[in-house]
Amino acid sequence: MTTGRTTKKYLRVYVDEFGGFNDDFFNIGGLACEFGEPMGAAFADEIKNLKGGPGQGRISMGTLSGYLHAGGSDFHESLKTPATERIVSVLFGIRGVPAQGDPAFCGQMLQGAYRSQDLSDGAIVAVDLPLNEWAGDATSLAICKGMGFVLDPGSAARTAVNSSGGVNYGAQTTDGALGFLHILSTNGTCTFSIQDSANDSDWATLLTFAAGGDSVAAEVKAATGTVDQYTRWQISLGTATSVTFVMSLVRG
Amino acid sequence: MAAQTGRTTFKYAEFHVDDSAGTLTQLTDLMGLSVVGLEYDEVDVTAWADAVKNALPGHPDAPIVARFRFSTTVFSHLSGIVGGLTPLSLDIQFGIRHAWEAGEPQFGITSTTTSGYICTAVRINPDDMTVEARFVVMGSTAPAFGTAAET
Repeated sequence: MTTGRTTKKYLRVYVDEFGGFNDDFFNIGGLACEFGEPMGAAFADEIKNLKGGPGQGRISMGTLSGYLHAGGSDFHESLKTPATERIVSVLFGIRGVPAQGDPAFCGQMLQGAYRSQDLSDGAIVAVDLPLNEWAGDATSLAICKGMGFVLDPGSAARTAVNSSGGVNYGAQTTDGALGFLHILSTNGTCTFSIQDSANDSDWATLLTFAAGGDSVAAEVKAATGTVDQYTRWQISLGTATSVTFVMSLVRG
Repeated sequence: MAAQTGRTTFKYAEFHVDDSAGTLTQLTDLMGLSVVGLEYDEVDVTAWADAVKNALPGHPDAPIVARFRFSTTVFSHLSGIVGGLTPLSLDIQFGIRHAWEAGEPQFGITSTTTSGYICTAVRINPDDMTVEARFVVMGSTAPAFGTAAET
């Protein structure tokens, strides 16, 4: 992975099982992880403070915008239904297309609308998909973070198990995690999982997705407890010989 | 070079905050800072017979919002501390026409198990690829201006 700064043109957004819309998406609003601030100040306190800790958190992705693109499998047909829970991963490529280890912002969001933008002379017709709130029927309501890292950017089909090194977080964490999976293409059954390791060589399964790979799909899977320092994608091919997917992990 | 006196510019300001392991680290992608310092409630204690309205200081507040260029360093650092319960050391150093050194102004707090800052929000703006982080005091001890680095 590359480190350092980047620009907007290297962002890639994946919504549910749809991976081909980055030719039309052109903006996504503020990606935020915010906590309430129930401030207090006892008589003897020197300053107002959050001694009780932060309040409930909120994840927001703002509004995803794209150029209206109609067609059999284009995003107008795929995303035109609002009031729907969407699994969304925003991958931040670092001065290049996203790669393993790059930052990601992921959520299981409520798509609150599907609406055209204000039209003006000469403007391309564009539509907005507000993704302002975490979905009430999401897989997990226990982790408020959103900020994670790419395990597989979906840039190549996978045809064998992963025997490579993983993404180094720098230390283990103890507050669980959420795995985000977007299966973009498959030609049979396949089991998808995320493994973790304390040393980047001895691996154990952290979580296994239920999606079986026999069709394109998206899924969020929660893990609890300790997540070791290194994590990587893993597959177990059934009848499939080739699968393409995007996978990210958000630690609690 | 010894500590200098006189005026300075923003390019010599540094933002340091603990990472998730408790290591005080400078985030060099800094590109903006809110006001820094204690701001006290001005509690009106005026009585009818007073000829002039008057006030006493109440509790102060000292939230800090820092803006950064989006980078892998900033993202990794903030993802590890946002929403956390562990008080963080925070040190904003104002170098006087050169990189800060002891004797020049700084504002912050050295964390203890019960006092410091916590990070309550991270907002990523993909439009200009910037990151905004908000820090609020946790615990009863106030940060302060000084001339010695926090630890």
